[in-house]
Amino acid sequence: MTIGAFRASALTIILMLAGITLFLFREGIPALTREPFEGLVFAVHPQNPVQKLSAEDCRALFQKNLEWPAVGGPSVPVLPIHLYNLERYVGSQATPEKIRVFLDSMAQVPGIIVALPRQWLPKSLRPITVKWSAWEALLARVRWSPTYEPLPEVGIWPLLLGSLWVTFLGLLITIPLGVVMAIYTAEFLPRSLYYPMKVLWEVVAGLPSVVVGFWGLVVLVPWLQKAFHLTTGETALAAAILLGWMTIPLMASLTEESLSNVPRLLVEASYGLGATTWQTILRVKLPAIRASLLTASLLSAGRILGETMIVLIVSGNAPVIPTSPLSPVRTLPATLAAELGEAPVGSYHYHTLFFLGLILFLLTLILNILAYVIAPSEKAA
Amino acid sequence: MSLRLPKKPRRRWGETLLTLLIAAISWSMLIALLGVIGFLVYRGGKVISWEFITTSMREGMQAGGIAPPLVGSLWVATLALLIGALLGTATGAYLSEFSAKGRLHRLIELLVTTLAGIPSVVYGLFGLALFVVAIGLGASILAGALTLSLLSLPILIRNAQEAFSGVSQELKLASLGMGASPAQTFWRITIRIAFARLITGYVLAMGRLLGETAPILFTVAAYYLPAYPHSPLEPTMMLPYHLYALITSGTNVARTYPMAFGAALVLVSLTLLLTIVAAILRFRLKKHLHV
Amino acid sequence: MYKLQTQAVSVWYGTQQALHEVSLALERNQILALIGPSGCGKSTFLRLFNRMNDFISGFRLVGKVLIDGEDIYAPNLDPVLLRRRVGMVFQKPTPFPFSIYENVAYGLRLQNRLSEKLIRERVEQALQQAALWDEVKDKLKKSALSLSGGQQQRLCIARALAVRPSLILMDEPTSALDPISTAKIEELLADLKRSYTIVIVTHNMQQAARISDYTAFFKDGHLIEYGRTKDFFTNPQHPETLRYITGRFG
Repeated sequence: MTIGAFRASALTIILMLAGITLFLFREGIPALTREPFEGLVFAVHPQNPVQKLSAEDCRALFQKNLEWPAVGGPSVPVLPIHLYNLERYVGSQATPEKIRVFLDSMAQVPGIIVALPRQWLPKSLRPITVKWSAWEALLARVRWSPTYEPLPEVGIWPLLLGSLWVTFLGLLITIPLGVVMAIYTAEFLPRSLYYPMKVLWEVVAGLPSVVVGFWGLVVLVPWLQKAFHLTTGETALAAAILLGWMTIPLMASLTEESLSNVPRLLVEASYGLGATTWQTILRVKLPAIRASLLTASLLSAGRILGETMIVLIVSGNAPVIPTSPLSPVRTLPATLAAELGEAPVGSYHYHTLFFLGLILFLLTLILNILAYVIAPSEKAA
Repeated sequence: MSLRLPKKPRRRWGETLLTLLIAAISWSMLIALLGVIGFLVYRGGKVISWEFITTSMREGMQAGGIAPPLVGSLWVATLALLIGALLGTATGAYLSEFSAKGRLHRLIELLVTTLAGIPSVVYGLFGLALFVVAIGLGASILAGALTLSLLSLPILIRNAQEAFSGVSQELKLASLGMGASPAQTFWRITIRIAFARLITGYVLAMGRLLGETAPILFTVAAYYLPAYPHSPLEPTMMLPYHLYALITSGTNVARTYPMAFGAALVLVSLTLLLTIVAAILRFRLKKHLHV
Repeated sequence: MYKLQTQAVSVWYGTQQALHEVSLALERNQILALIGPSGCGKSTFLRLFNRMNDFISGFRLVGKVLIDGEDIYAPNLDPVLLRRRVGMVFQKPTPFPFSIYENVAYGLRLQNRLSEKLIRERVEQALQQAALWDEVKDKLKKSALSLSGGQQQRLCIARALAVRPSLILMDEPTSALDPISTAKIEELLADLKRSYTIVIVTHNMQQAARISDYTAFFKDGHLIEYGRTKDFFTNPQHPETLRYITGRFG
């Protein structure tokens, strides 16, 4: 009976992973299959010859970045009306009656374009089709503005590149320093301090990331601002420094373990030939653990990639494509944390965020599987 | 033939320099840690008082204490640890003692490793989709605890596995040889010997869970709820999230920042305490068992 | 009826054959010594009788192993129950990290049906039979790990005896002990023979000659020779046996 219960627990693990994958797909795929403006109808003045618009052009019209002639319409000014700017015209206390009156009067304007629920649509206006290509919107656009109504901009590239950029910068700190610490601990540290050093690593790795982020905000960010003469120190670099530091223990402990496990025969052969400690380290040990170094780097990358709070606090939260380490940046996890609370369950924004989660999940999955494949003696926790 | 020993090789002092360099770099990690903690102690120490820890917040979050998030965090983390410890230890026991070590075993180990690498925010997403929405628990202590427990599973499973495998094979065989079934051997011998090691793992996991922010954001944490929870189906304030709220949405920074430092200090102290206790436990165990 | 008997028993671990068609029989209240060079299969043979080989992957058996006439590898026979009727003492003393009393009581508690009073009696009896009672009677609650190596091994013997097994198996029980402890245990065995049947693996031929009634010589998984100890060492039939014995003695 004991054995049965234990086996059941073990099977739960399989269920878990299956569950996570399933839910992410279930909630994320609709971002590809649905349209953000479900329930809304787009319509124009009956004399406007335009029948179809791409989502891009439509949005540009609503943002007044585009004129009608560019899409085959008449040479009249664009008048965009949708649920979210209605208030500007009718005030916040408008009754449904007042709104209908307003809309009916607006329907006379030749350059009008509306995005309204069907029941609010003035009869005189003619609906048009707006083509939303999810793949293009998500994967071929570089602007992230998911709350813009009625046509959100959901290009994931700023976020993806933001994540990759911060990870890259962070690894520049983690990998060298982690390897250095591993070498020091494995080779030179007095044995009585070995255990305290490992405890130190565990302490640093266990620091709550909110706290580290807070410290960064109060100390590092102002310093960066002064040192580089920026308007704000909230940058990718700030996040990378903090994240890189916090991930050093992971890199160091994995590397140190590999260093200690280099076969004795190899080491003794080196010393037997008269090599010094450093020569042995550089010429024998490090080459011997090449695969483990790669694994450790991949796992560290995965850890940095998935980190949320530090980035949220110090990296400026600007979903734009980063151009330098001093750009503000927004990563995938930070986006999830920042926006999920405000996205109504089941809305397009909600599904887009799950889509992001799915991408993040797959990215870290690939990193971890690669790491496992390269060197199966892992210790990723 | 005489052993003509060459003069001291020129390289030596270059190597010494190198050694010194990496020593400096390595110990700078300690200095950085002390810097962070010291700074928090300095700024947060002024705010900490018995009142701070035991009373609720006032005037928005600008005064008073952090008792509700502290209590909420303890509730959720403890519940999460209980669930995780149960499931994780059972799975670890299965992998170490009762599995046939065949393909299923290797599959589960691979899955555990995979789960360990999944970012905590993805667990939060999953928790939201499953516990909060699909099962309908809503943002609640239970949903948050369940989500956190999933997060802790990989660590706890591996901890249990190592603890049980560490019990000497001879003792297990001696018990089996006396006619104890594998289950009896497990309960009477293995788990008793591995107990201390298991506890160490639980303490460490608790430290990690208390500091987690991302998974609780969508599953349990309330922004402002200065009351104590009455049932596991209610949301509650949580310390890491409260800290985040203090940092980012304070309109009156001069007043909310001191509170934030206090909260940060409390959170770090808790985590530090648990981590160090776990480290000491493990150290004393190592000495004890090295006969 | 013989106490134990094997009929043409062959054993494989995967593709490696560890025993080749071994047949022998032993009456009760006798001591059988198994000797032979390392890797000859004597431990494997020993562990047939309490089915401890079952835990090794790839284990396969052909032939019959009988205790009191019963086939112990029959499909409906529970090996756990078998091990409660057959005691085993290992080469290295393996006291559990409990008190001396709890160690000896361990086997008794597995069945959950004995009263505390009865358990106390049996613990005392077992410790006396193992010639340990006088040395530990005042410190039964102390940890078993505080005993010396020789005492620990006698504790393990007491532990095995407490459940009143019908057969006792010993795998080189004295090879990790000093000569004095060894002597004490050999004395013990002479006494135990009166109530139990014992099979002992030993690589010390003088020990085999001293304490056993029957001896079996194994080599490369084959039973080379089996006979009364007296005759075995003075007049071995098989040339291999002679070579092995003289090699060691000489």
